[in-house]
Amino acid sequence: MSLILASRHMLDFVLVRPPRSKMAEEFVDRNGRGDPASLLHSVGAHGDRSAFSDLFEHFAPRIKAYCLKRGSSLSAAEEIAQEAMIKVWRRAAQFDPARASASTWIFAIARNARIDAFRREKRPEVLPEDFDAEDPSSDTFGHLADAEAGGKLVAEISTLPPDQAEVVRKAFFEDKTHQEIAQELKLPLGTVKSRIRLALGRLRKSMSEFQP
Amino acid sequence: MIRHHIAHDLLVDYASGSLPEAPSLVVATHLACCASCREDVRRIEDIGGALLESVGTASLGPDALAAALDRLDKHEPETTELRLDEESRKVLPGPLARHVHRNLGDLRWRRLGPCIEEAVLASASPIFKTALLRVAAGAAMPAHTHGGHEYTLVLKGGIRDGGAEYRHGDVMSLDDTHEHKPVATEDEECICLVVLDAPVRLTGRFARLLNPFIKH
Ligand SMILES: [Zn+2]
Repeated sequence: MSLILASRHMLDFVLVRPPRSKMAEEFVDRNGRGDPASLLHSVGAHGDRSAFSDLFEHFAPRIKAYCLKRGSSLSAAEEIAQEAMIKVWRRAAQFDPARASASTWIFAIARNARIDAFRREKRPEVLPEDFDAEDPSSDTFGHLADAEAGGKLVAEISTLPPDQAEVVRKAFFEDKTHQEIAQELKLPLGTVKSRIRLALGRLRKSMSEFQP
Repeated sequence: MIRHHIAHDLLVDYASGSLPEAPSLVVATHLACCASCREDVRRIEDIGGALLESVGTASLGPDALAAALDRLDKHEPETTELRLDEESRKVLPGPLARHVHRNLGDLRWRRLGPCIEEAVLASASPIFKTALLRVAAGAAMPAHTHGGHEYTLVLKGGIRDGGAEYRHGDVMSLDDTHEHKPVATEDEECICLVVLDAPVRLTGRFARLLNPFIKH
């Protein structure tokens, strides 16, 4: 990691084709059937193939870009995007809009699909049916509106102090744990922990101001 | 009621997708038992979701959508169906049950001492040792210090260590700065999931007895 890159004042996550504007690209509602959450609902409840196609066209190229960013080859990234979208189809009925936004839910599926392919490890997953019965079902918190949150985040990340932006980028795009980041940057583990905590707290706060 | 949670940095590593399989198994198993950590993970995943929206796009091949649509109706079971007996279902939360993929009684338990048995679980990485430990009620557990991390997640019974008590779903996280003397609680046998990421240096009277517990 060169010093110039390390001190860049933003996350540098726009990879293949930069978004048209500073904001994340809006979801294109081609057929007037609504946002990703409604489409996921149509897929889960009715096996709606054209809703799935809309989701595919929005998310598959993003998942591919995310995989490329994290070091997958072109062909692996394409395959992972396919696998992840097939999982989206199969699991759509489990999607609960009260629990997560559509892009958060699809991110988790894409992340796991990438790990399965990339590391040849099984990613231990937590499914809704795993939750302890006695556990008060308190998993119903507000969440973020998809596209706005994405755009807001782009803007917000560019205002993070460079040292914080750097550790977040390493965590989300370079496959590095806290410990590995600390070793690479020759920083005490505690410093990395607090930088990530500060950065996430700050991003989180700015995103929640976007909540409806 | 969960009292001992997963450290925030580990949740970030898990949610961002950087954490290796063995410690991820501890995190996922805890998440099945803990709504509060699930919510923390979801908050971190929100950042991931937002990054996914803003990462840019990379076009797929021209037939990608058609190929995906073709696959939708094909029956491709994600996992083979898991049929476990009642005890195993009770002791093993979903993520761990799918990893172990057999009844507790069908695992290869190896006796490490009069009160302790161990069943080593498959692990993709040789850096980690993943095992289930079965300890008789009231018996002392392996006491050791070592050069890395150890995560112990209680599945059945309980563990007392240095004034703290750990029950179903609780995670005891030890690093090399501690020397612990955990003891199983008196009420029933204790079964726990243990993940080690460095060779154990055993201390005390268990040292010789538990030599096999050192990862190979
Ligand atoms: Zn917890």
